[in-house]
Amino acid sequence: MQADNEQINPLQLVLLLMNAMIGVGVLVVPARAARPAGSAGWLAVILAGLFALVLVWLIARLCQEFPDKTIVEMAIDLLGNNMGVGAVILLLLLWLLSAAFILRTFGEINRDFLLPNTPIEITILGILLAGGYLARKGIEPLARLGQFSLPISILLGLGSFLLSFPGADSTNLLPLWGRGWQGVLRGAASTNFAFVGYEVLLVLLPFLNKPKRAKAAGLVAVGTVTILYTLLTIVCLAVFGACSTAKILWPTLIVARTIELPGLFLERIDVFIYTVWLVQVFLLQSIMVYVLSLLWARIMKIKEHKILVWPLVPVIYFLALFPLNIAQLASFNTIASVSLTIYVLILVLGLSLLARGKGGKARA
Amino acid sequence: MQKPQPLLKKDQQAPQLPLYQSLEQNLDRVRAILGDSNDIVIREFKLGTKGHKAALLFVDGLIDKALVCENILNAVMIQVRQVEADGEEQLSPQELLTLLSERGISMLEIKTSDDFDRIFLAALSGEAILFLDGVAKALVISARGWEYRSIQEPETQTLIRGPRVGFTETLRVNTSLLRRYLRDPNLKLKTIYIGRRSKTEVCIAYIETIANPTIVEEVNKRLATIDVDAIMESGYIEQHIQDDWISPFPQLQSTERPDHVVIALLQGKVAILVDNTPFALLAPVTLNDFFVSPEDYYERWTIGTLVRLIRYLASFMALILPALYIALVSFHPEMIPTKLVLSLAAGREGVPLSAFLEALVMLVSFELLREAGIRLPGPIGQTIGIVGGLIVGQAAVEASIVSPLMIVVIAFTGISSFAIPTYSMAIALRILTLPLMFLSALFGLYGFILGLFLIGGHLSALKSFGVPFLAPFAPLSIKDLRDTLFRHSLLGMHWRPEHLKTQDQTRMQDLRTDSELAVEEKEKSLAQARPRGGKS
Repeated sequence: MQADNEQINPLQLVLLLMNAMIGVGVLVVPARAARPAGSAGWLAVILAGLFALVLVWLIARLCQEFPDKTIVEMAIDLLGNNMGVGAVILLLLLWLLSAAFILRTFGEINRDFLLPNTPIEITILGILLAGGYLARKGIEPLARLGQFSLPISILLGLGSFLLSFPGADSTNLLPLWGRGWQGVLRGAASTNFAFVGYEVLLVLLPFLNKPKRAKAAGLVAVGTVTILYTLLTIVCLAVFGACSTAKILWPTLIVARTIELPGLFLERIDVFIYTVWLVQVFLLQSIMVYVLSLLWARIMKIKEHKILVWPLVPVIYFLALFPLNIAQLASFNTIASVSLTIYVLILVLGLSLLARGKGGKARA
Repeated sequence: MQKPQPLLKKDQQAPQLPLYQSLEQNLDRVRAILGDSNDIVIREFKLGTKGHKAALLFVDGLIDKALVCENILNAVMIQVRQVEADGEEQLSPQELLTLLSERGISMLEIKTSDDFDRIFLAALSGEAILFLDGVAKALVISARGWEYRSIQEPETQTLIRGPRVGFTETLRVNTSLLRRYLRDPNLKLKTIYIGRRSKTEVCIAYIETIANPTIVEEVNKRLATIDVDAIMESGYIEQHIQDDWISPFPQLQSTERPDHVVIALLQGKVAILVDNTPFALLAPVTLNDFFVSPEDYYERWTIGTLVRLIRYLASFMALILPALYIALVSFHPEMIPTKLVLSLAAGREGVPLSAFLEALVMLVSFELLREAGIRLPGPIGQTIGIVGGLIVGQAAVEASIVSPLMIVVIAFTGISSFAIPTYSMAIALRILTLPLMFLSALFGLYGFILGLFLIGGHLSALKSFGVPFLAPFAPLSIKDLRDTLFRHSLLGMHWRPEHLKTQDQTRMQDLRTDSELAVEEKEKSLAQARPRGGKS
């Protein structure tokens, strides 16, 4: 009998991280980038990606100093019991909010795109229950499912987007500099939320069977996602032009709608792409539920995260139903993801400095 | 209440019900326990010139009568007299017993026993028991011989190319079939008895130098926990030792083909053969194993690959086709090409049922036809298929109960499910079709993906004897992918499956170059040197 302790390999970690990042963001990245940055939207995406790369490198570096600890134990070690638990609870809350708003956004997209008459409460519940079911099974099944589905999804998605090249017009990408560096910066800030998700590395690292590869895994994951988003933004900008891209709610799906192929059986590719994306959203929610319940369990010093999964589900559910409409949801979402990113940055930097100080003392 | 007895370790245990010295008492006990069933035969006779009292106990129908008459009775009643006449001194009963087993009885297998429990088990499994007055021991003589089905071509796993040999209901014949394929001294066949009342002989087969010892141990451990009154078929064992009893997916593979078992043994798996059934069990299994037929390896790799791809496609279609139809027709007609939508709408005109009910009705009637076809004898079964499939289907369309496209969908689903080589897997997929259809009817494509995701999640969490069910896809093993969707040329299959963690990974000549080997040697010696260095 192989050991039943839960372990994932670096490839699985890369795919898990990518899965945690590619969610709702992938649908709106081109619009969010094009709105402030114009035709330089793709530069904004790259900039946001670079920022995420730096942050994930910092996270991995911190975690590698404590290869068998999650953020909870790290914070308690370095900040002391009260401060540490407080810091991690704040992280848990921010994460919870961000997960809930992402879920709600998904529900809204689903209503817009697939099921106009089904109440959003039901679709959200379905996805949460499925997420809870898989989250209870632990990290290994999640990693395996991710390994199984993400490469297929990416290949299908990329393949379909290549088909939309005939409709592209490269002059739409001009001027290269768009609306200047301020636009690019603001674009980077507003697309940053699409990268949120790599923070799960803070919790997942102890499960990696080769902790030394964590940095590489994080960088590869964020780098691949950056490349994907950039390609996507370039395609959307080239097909629609900066102005239209900025105005379309879900440009990624609409660009799929432009694909026309003689001899293709399916009439509309976009629904097909949507279903491929749907699988990723399910997986994303499972990962979030798993990570949140694990974090909660570690804070309460409970060994099994399983028993916390079902109590967690209604919390996310009601938080997700809290925003009144799409406009409110969008602003909540931005606030949650920006504050999560900033908080993680502060936490990681602070802990790294403290760890350095402690390590120095120990060596001296 | 009788406690379950570990029959395996009987030899080391003190007898629980020791034999008596006197023959009379022994026979009384036999009669008291075995009762007066008329197939129990006790043949009493006198031995040698001195007329020692002796008796032979056997079950009529389970022994080879000619053999018993010729080699036991003839020997002990007539030849012993001559031996005894040659000797000068009088033999004690104990010496007589030794004489009988060593020189008197010319049978292949003789054991002595002093325990009634063992004797009853031996007698009831078809051995002849020789009691002798004055000794608290009896001779257990192997003389099994009963009517059994001869070796025939297996009906459930027919191949176009491959041996026409299938297992039978007799365990000994089945193990001999394995030995015929593998003249390897490392092929181990371990026997245990399971079932309080049936005491069914169960044989665990594995190749000692290949199989992962932890898996063998796990199989043994799980078999030891089975405590039922009887094992009727290997299915009983399968259901007792599988990992997850709720899962619709089979977690052990059953096969009727000895060549299939041998291929699995060579991969490093463990086979469980059960007496009284031609179906052997293979463990551990992965999803991929259910799409493999031995024939894939007998034909050239191009054929093997094509067939594999078709099987995977078939299983996928059997699972999703009705659900996808429902989701597209009732929620997302915009995805279907315009021309097809028009003809579909024309076909559905006048059909009173919703797409879901239509599909449900058709699926149920398809399953009805299938079940009825199995129950009826051969030729009539085929008639049912023709009447049901062609005539009723045609009439149902004309009567506007179902649309023509629905018939096509259900027919494809049915045919696809029959293309999967393992029956239990095909059934599992057919069962899962229904909830998937239900979800699609409720939520369209969203429900469809939800269902697929749940199935995928379940599969990725499932393990069979510690081996992930989705291996080698996830966890990914590039090496092992050459025997999954594609069947690599036999020349390229150098390794046994990685996920089984076998002791001997290579199955062909070692292809590592000298430098690679040198590096490996170096690493090995370093690994050995390290702990020593640490201590000093």
